[in-house]
Amino acid sequence: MFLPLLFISCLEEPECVQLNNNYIKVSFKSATDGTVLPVLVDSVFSEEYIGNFYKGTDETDVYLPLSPVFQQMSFILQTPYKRDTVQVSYNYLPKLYGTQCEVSAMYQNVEITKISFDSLKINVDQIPPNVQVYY
Amino acid sequence: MAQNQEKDTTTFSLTSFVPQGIKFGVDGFGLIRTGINPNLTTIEGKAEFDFKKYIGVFETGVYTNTIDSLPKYRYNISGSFFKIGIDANLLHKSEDKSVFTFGLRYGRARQTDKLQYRINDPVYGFTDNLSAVNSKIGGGWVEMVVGLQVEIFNNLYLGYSARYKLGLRFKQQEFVPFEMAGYGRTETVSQKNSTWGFNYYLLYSIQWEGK
Repeated sequence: MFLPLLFISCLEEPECVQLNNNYIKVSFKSATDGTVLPVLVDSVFSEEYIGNFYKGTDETDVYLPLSPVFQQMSFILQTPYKRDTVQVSYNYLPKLYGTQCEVSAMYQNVEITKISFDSLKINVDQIPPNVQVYY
Repeated sequence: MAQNQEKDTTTFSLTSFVPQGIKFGVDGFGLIRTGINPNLTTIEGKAEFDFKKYIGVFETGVYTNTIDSLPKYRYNISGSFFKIGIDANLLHKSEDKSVFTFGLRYGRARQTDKLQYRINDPVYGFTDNLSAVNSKIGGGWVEMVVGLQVEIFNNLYLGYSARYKLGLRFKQQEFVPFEMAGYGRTETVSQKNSTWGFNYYLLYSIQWEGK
C-alpha cells in the first residue's frame, strides 16, 4: 500500500525552452528573376523605440524584432531607393514551462496590418509571416 | 408463468441501479502536501457508490498555490474542480472487502490564476515587470485510473489511486495557465497534453446490503 510513494519524486521534472518567434523576416529579391538581392540598408528603426537595428550595411534579409510591451509596432526601412513602413499587430502570450524557468514569449496572431512596399509577397504560412520585397 | 418472468426481470433491472453502499473519502496525500508547503492548499474528497461490480465515483476539491521565484516570476492559482466517472471492481467476487479498480473520469475545473513576471529583452535592451491574469477560466480533461483499497478497520479503508490524465482543453485569457486545479501542470517540454497524478485515500464505508 505504501510503495507508490516512492515514485512521486520522479514525476514532472521541469525543463526550460526559449521560444524564438519574435522576428518578422523581410527578404529582398530581384524583380526580374526572383533571386536574392542584397540591398544597402541605411537604417531600420521602430517608431516605438529609439535606435537603429541596421546601419548602412548590405543585407539580403532584415529582421524586425517584436516587443512584448506592445500589441502593434511600426518599423521604418530606409534604403537608398526609398523609405518604407511595415506595421505589425500581434498578441503576446506569456508561458511558464517549469518552476526553474524564465517566462517564455509566445507571439500569436501576427499580422502585417500596413505595408508600403510597391512589390512584395507575404508568406502567411510562416509563423510569424515573412515578407518578400522585390526591387 | 410468463407474467412472473416479466416481473422478475423488471425487479432485477431496477435493483441493479440501487447502490449497495457508499464510501466517503479524503485524500491524505493532498493534506500532507498542504501541511508541508505553506503556499499550497490541496483538499480533495470523494464519494463512491457501490454497485458491486461497478462503482460510481464523484470527486471534488479545491486547489490554491503560490510559486514565488521573484524576481523572475510569481504565480498564483485559486480554483476548484470535480470529477465524475465509473470504476470496474475486479475483486467484486472476493471474500474479503478489498477493492481493485480500473476506471475512467471526466474532470472539470474553474480557476483564476495570475502571473507576475520579468521580461529581459536583449534586442531593445530593457527589463520590465509585467503581469497577466486568467479570470474564472474553465478546463476539462479525462483520466484513466487504477486503484486499490484495503479495509484496515471496521468499515475504514486505506487506498490509493494512480491516474493518467490527458486531453486537457482550456481557454486561456492573458497567458497559458501553468497549472489546472485537479489536473496539475498544463504542459512541460517532456509531457505535452498528458500528466500523472496520485491520491492516497482514507475512506469510510456505509453498507446497507452485505457484500
